Amino acid sequence: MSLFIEISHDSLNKFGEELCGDKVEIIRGPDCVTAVLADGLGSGVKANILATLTSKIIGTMLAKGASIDEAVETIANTLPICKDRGIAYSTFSILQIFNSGEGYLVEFDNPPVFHFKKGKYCKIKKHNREINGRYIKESRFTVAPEDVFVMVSDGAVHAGIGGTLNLGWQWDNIKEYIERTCKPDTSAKNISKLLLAVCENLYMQKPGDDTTVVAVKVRKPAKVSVMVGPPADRSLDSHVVSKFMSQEGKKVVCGGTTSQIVSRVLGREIVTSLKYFSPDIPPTAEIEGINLTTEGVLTIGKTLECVKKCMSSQSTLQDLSLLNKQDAVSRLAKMLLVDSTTIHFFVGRALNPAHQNPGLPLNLNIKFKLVEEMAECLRSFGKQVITEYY
Amino acid sequence: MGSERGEGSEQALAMRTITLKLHKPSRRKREIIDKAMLNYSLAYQYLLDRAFSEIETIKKEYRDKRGGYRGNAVAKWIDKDISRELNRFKIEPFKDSLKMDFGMTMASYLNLSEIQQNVHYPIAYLPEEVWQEKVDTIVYDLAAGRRDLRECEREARKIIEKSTSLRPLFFCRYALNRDYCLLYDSVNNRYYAKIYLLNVKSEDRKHIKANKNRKLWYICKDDKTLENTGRKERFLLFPLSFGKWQERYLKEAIAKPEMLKTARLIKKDGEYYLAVNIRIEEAEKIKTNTFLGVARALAEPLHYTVTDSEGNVTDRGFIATELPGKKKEGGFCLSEIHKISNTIVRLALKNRSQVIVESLVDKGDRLQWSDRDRKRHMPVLNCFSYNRLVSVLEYKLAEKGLPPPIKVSPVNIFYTCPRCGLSSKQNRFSKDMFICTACGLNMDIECLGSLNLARKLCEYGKGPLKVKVERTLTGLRFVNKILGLDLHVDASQDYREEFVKEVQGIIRDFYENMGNYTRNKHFKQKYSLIKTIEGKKDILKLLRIV
Repeated sequence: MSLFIEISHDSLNKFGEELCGDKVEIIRGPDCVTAVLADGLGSGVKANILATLTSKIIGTMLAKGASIDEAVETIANTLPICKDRGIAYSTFSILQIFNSGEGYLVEFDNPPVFHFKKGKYCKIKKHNREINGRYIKESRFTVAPEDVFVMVSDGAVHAGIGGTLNLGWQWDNIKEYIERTCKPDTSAKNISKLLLAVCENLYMQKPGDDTTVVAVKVRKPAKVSVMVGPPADRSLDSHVVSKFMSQEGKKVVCGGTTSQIVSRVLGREIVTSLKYFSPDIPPTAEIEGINLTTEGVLTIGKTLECVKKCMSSQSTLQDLSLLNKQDAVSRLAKMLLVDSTTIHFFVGRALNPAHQNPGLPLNLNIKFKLVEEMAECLRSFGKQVITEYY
Repeated sequence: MGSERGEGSEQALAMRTITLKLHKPSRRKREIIDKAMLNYSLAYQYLLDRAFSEIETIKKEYRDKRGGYRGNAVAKWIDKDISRELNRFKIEPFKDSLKMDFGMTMASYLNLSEIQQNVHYPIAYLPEEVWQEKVDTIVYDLAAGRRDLRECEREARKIIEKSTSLRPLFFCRYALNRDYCLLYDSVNNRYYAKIYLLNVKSEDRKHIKANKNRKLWYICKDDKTLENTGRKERFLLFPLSFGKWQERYLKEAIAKPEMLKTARLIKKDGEYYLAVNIRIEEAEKIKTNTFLGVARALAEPLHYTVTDSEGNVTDRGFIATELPGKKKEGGFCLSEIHKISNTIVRLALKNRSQVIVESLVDKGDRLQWSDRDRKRHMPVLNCFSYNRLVSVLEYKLAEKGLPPPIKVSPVNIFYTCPRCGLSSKQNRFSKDMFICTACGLNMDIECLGSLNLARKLCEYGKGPLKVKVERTLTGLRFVNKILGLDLHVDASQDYREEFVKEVQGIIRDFYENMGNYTRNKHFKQKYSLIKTIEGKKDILKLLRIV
């Protein structure tokens, strides 16, 4: 079974601190994804160093095939000792999910990880073990598509303590909240952003502790194919369109000429929509068999901006909610970010003189640059991206 | 105290009720009052019984254009035949009043039955043999399984109540030679009530000897005193006792007797009281620029939030009562309702606010909560007390020159996120906590209710003023149904100027007749639209032609 692992994480710094004492490390290997959440003792620079060391060491060692015993021993020998308290301390949670569907979880003094199957909480069987004086909890299990894992630092559990809520948000309440909000189409990004928004509100915008949420969603691979620009050689039109149409998953066509080529080869009409959702975004069109037909360079440029905005660490839930709009940019961005795990770009090399800057060399084609930048962006978010040029 | 519609008037007036005690009436007078009240009650019940048999006809024939019922109209059902029948109850002195009283009761019943099912038909008074029969019927129905115990108990209790208390006598006018009027002894600073209780044939009539040493001045426009007529009189004279608060109004009535309106003669705990309705001068109208949402709460009776026209919160808090000991739940007595309403009025004055309240008539607000241990947490103020509070606010706000409270739907006010608008049961996490499942906003549940109320009208206020424009033979026609705009502008006129003038006229008329508009379907939208227009310096910039 091949699975796609979608991961998102967000953090809040303790009020008044410049650095977060929690650290998240995500390592994507050829056959597994490892997520490590480490919470350094205290707050500020010290905690950040402890957490960074912990997460880096553990993440790298496990990804390279080392055992948990080796990783924990290395941590114990590496972490600096606190002068005041005389201990070197960082809590951690490690979640490894293999493409085969196996899962491995290790927890050390962090709040228990939440596991949801089809939106319902599912208890994970844990075994206690001692390694170098540290008592860890270990679990092995199988994962299925639409499984969700959420790791939180104790800042989330204590959110609102002594203020909006006497005893803080509490683990059980967080579990209940995730159950209520987790729907089949909710992305990992949405989950992490939402939980963090709640924590920030509970803390009344002055977090009493570093707070981190890591959301992991297991998905079946979903592909989106995007055809941008006509092939340089006209004789390849049919070949490219046939190959494009033979791909599984959703299909997007960007560009007026490209749409005409697809329409001609398929023998299907282009129906232009007259609905303008935004004055600066060109409208979409409809071709039977194509999920989305848009204008070219302008739409791709704005989509890239939208994608970067949504995936940045500064993004808010309001930014993510923009993906639900009906204009071409929002729809394309949603397809790339939410609906797909793999994106295949079919990029035509034919040049549109209108897109050229006369002062620049021809290889600085705007379209190519945008697609390359988009591919890079999507890869950095964990998507698998294939780009073919014609 | 209450708010009443003036006789034959479309507009709701600012009214107040002062209660004056009849000071130690003699046995003879007590017997006369009791007899009059019994006759009145029997006559009233006769009308109700007769109307019940013709209820479908009354519903059809006396419904007005708006689909409602008005007391004056329904009273016309009492034709000459029925009126003649009433004479056997010897209620000639109060016949006009009885008709009006009956009309108001029937209209209320008919209006309520339009919006609520299972409204009980009114009962005025049941003599012993009648109530016994009715109770027997209820018991029979219970035995036959046609009704449940709770329903039977409730109805039986109501019937028995009606057999032991007589209906207050209603006097539909303040007049010197019929119904009732007041007199004043300026030397001794004493007040008296002259009440017509006897008909011309009554043997209980006596000569009333006016004391030469004590002049009793009628409280009326002309300078008139009570004189000996040498005849047996149909009225009785009662000295009155009351407090300083009531005296204030009586002194005012001496200068402005036109403020004295209808009255009721009530018997309670063996004592007799004259409840006089007086019209009080409305204060100068205050233009509001904020909204004050007042919602029920779990910790205290009410929670309030004040917002500006953009929906930004400027003030909030609980409205508590100063009840000693254990926190009271459910029903509140009238004096407590008045204390609470006075607090609300003060807040509204201080913030120049339009008060917005829940309309807890046919739908609830679902504020109550059952936690995991199945313990129920109920709002401090039950629906009945809350609605009572709203009716008190209607006249108290008017007295201070503020507009009446706007009643809005309470549905989901404790479940709707004020930031993203998601309305879901899932948003409520506990008795006290609201956490939005879409945007993560969290707040105290009680703050949420009043905030959503305060912002209700802001929703309608967003957006442009959409006006339909048509070309006519002579010029242009501008239409907006919500605003009530239908303006024809001749081609030779400046349409911009005419449009602005017309809209300003509509706004002026709205404020002057606000009481008339509150029951209009589009009232809330019109009100919000007017607020939006007032917020713009240039109305034309808000205009969008559709």
